[in-house]
Amino acid sequence: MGEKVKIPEGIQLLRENIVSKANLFGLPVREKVSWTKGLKLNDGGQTILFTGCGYEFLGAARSMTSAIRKMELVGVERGTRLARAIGKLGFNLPGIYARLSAGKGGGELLRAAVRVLQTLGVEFSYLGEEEPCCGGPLYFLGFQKDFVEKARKTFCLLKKRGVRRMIVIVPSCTYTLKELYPHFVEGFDIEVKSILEVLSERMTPMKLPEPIVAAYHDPCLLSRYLGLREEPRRILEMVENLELREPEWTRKEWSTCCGGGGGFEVVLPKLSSLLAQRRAEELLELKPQVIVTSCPGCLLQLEEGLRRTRAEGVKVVDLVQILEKAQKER
Amino acid sequence: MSFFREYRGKLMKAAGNERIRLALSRAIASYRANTDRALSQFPHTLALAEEVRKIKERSIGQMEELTEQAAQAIRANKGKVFIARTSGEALEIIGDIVGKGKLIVNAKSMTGEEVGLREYLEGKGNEVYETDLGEFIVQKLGSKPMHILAPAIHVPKEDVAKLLTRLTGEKVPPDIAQEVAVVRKFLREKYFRADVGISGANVVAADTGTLFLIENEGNARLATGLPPIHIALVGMEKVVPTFQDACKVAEVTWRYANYTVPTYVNLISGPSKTGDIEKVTTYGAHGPRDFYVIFLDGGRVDLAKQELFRQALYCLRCGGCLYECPVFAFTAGYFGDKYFAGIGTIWTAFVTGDLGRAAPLAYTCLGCGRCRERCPMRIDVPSMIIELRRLLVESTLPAKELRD
Repeated sequence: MGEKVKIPEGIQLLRENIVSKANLFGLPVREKVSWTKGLKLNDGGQTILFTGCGYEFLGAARSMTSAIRKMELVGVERGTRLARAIGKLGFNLPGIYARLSAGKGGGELLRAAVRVLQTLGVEFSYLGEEEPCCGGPLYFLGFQKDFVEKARKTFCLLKKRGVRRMIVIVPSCTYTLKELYPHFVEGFDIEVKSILEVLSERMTPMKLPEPIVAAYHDPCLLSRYLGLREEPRRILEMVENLELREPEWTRKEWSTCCGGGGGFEVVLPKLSSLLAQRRAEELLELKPQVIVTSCPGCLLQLEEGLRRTRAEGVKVVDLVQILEKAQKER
Repeated sequence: MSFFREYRGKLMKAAGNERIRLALSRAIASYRANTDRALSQFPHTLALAEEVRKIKERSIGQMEELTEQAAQAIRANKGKVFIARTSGEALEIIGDIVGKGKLIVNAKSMTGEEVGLREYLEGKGNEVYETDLGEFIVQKLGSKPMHILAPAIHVPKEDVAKLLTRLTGEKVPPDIAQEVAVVRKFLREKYFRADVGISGANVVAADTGTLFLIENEGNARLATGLPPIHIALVGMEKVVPTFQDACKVAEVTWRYANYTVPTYVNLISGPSKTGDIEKVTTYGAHGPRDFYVIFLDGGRVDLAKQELFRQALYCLRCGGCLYECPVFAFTAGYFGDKYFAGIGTIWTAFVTGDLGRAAPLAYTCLGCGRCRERCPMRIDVPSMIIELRRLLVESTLPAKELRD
């Protein structure tokens, strides 16, 4: 091979963040737990709720992707280099560009998840600042050595804390912990469940205060990688006043990707944005009032898609937000 | 990074092209509806696809032996066979058979595209006509194929009319039936005048040495039947043990390729012959007198030895995955090199032998996995893409350089 192959710089940045800052976005850990304020959370049980980076840093992620999209005007390579030169904080762009707090948005969703699980009688604790990053993106982006190292450390930490079972919220973390860890980490013996599996087992009939038309978007990792196609439908069907509509072709295993997979939004931000719009358009054909999904990446992409279509009166929400709302009114 | 920048420039230009988007969204909708209908009309296809997967697994495991067996069978049928290790070798062999100053009619072949056959033969002073309608349009536009089966998928009928008007000097309206008639007339005499016909093959039976060519237009049967010489360039991965196996592979291929039932399946095992005068076998009756098959290795033998990547060789080239790729829906074949989208990324890496060429493609794949759902061979493209990324990261970059 003559000249050296280079991989896209944005991808390298994501790696650095996970390896050196312990989360995808390179943000300080204290920002991670700001959402827990006022919640009663245990911290010593054998079953933990694993919240991952996606929701906790949703605000940051939103600012980051929007900043990258703006940067594409000057070229991503130059833009990311600039961002790094400024703070040596990896992708800590919010401070530079948008001044959004990291907790905004994502925290609400996590609080909703906690409340819903608690009301359904699910017992769990939370590791708080100690919660490690699963390292999944390292694997998907090709940094397998880094991933295996990270996964071993994460497993050690979980064992030290006596964790036997995990309820995982982010689809990418769920896949990583459930499917990749047993393959790459020797002796991995923790039971991993998606929050959708837990909810679908424990679900009781609920009712929304007012009728609402919802379109469900299957995240790739849930529908294709983890095969969780029936669970979200079973859950939503138990919510009275919710009319579930689905695209004719692009549902379940045929769902169209939101355009946010595997660091794609960092490498090809504009195309990612076009793909988000395409998916939003497919769902908008159903004339929904809300688009429901269950993945922080999809959530951001669909928001972007809706923004581009200039659709009015439609919101993207997480499935747990629907349940929280339905519970409150019960 | 300059290659990546250049690639991204082209990719984004395509993504911004409304015509590509429109043409593809129509094509995708019709593909899904047609395939759905075809699969319910012929429900045995699903089980057959599983059987074919096993046939392919077995065949790729003994690809070189099967190729040798096919070569012997074709020679026994009085065909001539060469095994080319590289695309350069394949070009040389074909170049020597053809010579210069010849008229050549070409039936669509991805393997020909892979080695750059048309350009090579033109460069040697031959006149080459693509006969598949889509390829013909793409050739005359000076463009490149954008889909493995529907190369002109990105060109609307208005643009075709303009092209044909320029080509024939007569006013051609943007009417599809009239456009097809014009091309038919234009190419007709070329088949009769041609010195050489060139094709690929969809599948080859090792026991009988039979090449299967699936088509609807009829150009492949004319291009392989009328000229005195027929040359077929075939990737070694196309060979399966028996004629019966090949029939199964062919049916699954056309069903997923949106053909439901193809108009023509051409079976060619040797040169044309007759024994009608005194029972003396004489070659070159109505069809070609000389039949050549060039089997191409071109990285396939190495690929077959790779535990995870070998499944790329199970690809039937039905093109179904392309209709499911969300990126392809915007960019068409610009997400690709000689081969397209996720599976094309793996092919690019191993067929060109240049991982660097595949690097930008590897990070254009979303890893969404919808191609895997469509693939009749259940080829696990996302896993291969991730593994390719690992190779890119580990084999070409020392860790510290990542931070530069």
